[in-house]
Amino acid sequence: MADGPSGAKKCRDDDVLFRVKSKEDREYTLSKKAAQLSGTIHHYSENYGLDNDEAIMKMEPMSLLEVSSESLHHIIRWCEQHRNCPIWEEEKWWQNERDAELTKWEDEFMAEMTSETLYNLFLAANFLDIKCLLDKCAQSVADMIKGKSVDEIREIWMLENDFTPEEEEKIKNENPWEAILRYQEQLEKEKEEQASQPAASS
Amino acid sequence: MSSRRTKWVYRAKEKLLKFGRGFSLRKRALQSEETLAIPSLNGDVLQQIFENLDLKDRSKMRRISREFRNVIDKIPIRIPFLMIHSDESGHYEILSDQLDFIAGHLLSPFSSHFDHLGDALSMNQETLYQALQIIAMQASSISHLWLDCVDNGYLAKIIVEANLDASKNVMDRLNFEQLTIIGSKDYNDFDWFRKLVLMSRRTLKALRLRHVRITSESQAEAFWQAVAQCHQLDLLQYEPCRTDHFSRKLLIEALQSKDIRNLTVTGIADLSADDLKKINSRGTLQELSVVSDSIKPSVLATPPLQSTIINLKSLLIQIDPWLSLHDSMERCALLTILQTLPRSSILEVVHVMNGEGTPHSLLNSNNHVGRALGYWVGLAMESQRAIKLKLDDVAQDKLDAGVGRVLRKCAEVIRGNWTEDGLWLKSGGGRVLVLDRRTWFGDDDLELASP
Repeated sequence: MADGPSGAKKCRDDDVLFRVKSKEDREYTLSKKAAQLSGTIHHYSENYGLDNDEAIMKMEPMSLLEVSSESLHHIIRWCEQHRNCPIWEEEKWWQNERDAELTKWEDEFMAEMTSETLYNLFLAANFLDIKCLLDKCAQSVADMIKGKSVDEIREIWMLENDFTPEEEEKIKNENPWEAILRYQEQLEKEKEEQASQPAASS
Repeated sequence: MSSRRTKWVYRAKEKLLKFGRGFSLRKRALQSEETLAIPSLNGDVLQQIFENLDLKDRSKMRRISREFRNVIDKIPIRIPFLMIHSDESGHYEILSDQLDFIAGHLLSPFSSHFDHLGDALSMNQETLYQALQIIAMQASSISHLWLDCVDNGYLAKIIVEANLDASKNVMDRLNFEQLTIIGSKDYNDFDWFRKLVLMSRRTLKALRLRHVRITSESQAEAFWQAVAQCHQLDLLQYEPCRTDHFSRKLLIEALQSKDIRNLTVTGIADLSADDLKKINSRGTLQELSVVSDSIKPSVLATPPLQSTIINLKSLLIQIDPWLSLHDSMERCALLTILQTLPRSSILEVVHVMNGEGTPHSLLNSNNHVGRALGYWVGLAMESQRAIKLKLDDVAQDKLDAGVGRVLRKCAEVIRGNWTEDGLWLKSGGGRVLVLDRRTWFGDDDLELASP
């Protein structure tokens, strides 16, 4: 597995290490600070009395039966990189306090994911409740959808069209944002017309 | 099973290769053998993905499958805080906790018409009107809408009309939990404010109106009837720019069946202590700031009103310039008020120092400021309560000189901490926070509780 983008942070020698185990029974460690980014680990720590360094050092590895070794490897890289960010409870902090270097690292991190790795990572981030990673994964998957036709998306994602022909016909004509989209189109047209007027008059 | 999966993987690979060009960041991914696991993403995860799509893409995704349609139809657009303010030169700014979302998703058609300043979107009037219309059509809720513009009435009209145009069900229409409007200009502005309030009658919890003007009795009647329909309302701030002769009775009727916790009212003609009692008939008031000619400290200290102030966390009173610091009756009334308030509460005092009633010899006098400070420190000490003091219309150098004088002359008074708002003076178990000239009462009760 690749070590990832340049400048990646890793555990320091003096870090208190949190032990986790993937579904393939492979053990990994991550710093206490990095582990706290995960809501699931945070709750686990609270429930199992892992609230001090001594308890963490003596802990049995936490089994993450939903997370593959590959995903866990990437999750740990992500968490170590973000370990100095505020704790996970603060909603959407990552949208406000992102420095350019971190954003660059994140972009490089996501760029090296294959589609399958990305989806697995997404599921793992969801299981581990790592909000900043979930947000980034959601954005990346959404970027893949943009500009594609309905049929293209169905084919890419291998989704069955489960609408009956009548339903499909109905849903084609039904758009909850029709008024808004029409208004936006009208604005765009007006702008185009305005832009073309000086040219025509000249 | 295994043969089915192999076929599935083969088909996936084939299709991925076919559409490989679209995945600019994932070229390597598309060359490798892999499957896509979208069907296993649950509704919450799908919702997170779809929230990143604009409306065009969302309407497309609705047509993919039943599950996708259900997920997309459930995505609400919530904006936690939206403030629109303008300056005199016609520049408008939108401030929000979700500026990137607003700029990137809701207002993408106008991106060339506004400047993203990082903490605000800056635009001209025409763009603002269009932008507000789009926001009002798309958002399902704005937790706190704050209008502070020269044309608040027209902005309210845009929001109301946009919502009628958006073909939404009544239950899905835009609503607010808090609505703040600062300033009104035209005679019919209040008609639009009323409609805005009515739009949110199921959700509105806090309504703040400052520097506004109701222009007729019928307008007042319609407005306060709308307020009466907001059953969740627990905070009302109403501070008109001119004395309001229409609202007294209507305000009482609108509020007396509500659990009002925080009430700030100034500028309502003839509002009396009895009216306050009626408003607080359910005994829910916790913060009270009422300035009225008929509600003096001596009235608040009378037994019928003591029951209103006995549970308050904070009480604001205004002291007129003609208060004599030697008037023992008035001092006794203030002491009663302080002692009636719970020990952890705050008495907020606006002491108007210079006005019509101020003797000429006391105007802008350092000694007068010092004596006033000493007066309040003495009351705080005697009652062992906290007072937040605003000496109105006093220059900062005179305030500083007054504080110096109190510290020199009164041995038992000691200087406490400086805060962002002012300086603490302590004496025995009493404390007085002397607010700086530029500071007004804020929401820092926590700090006051434990200085």
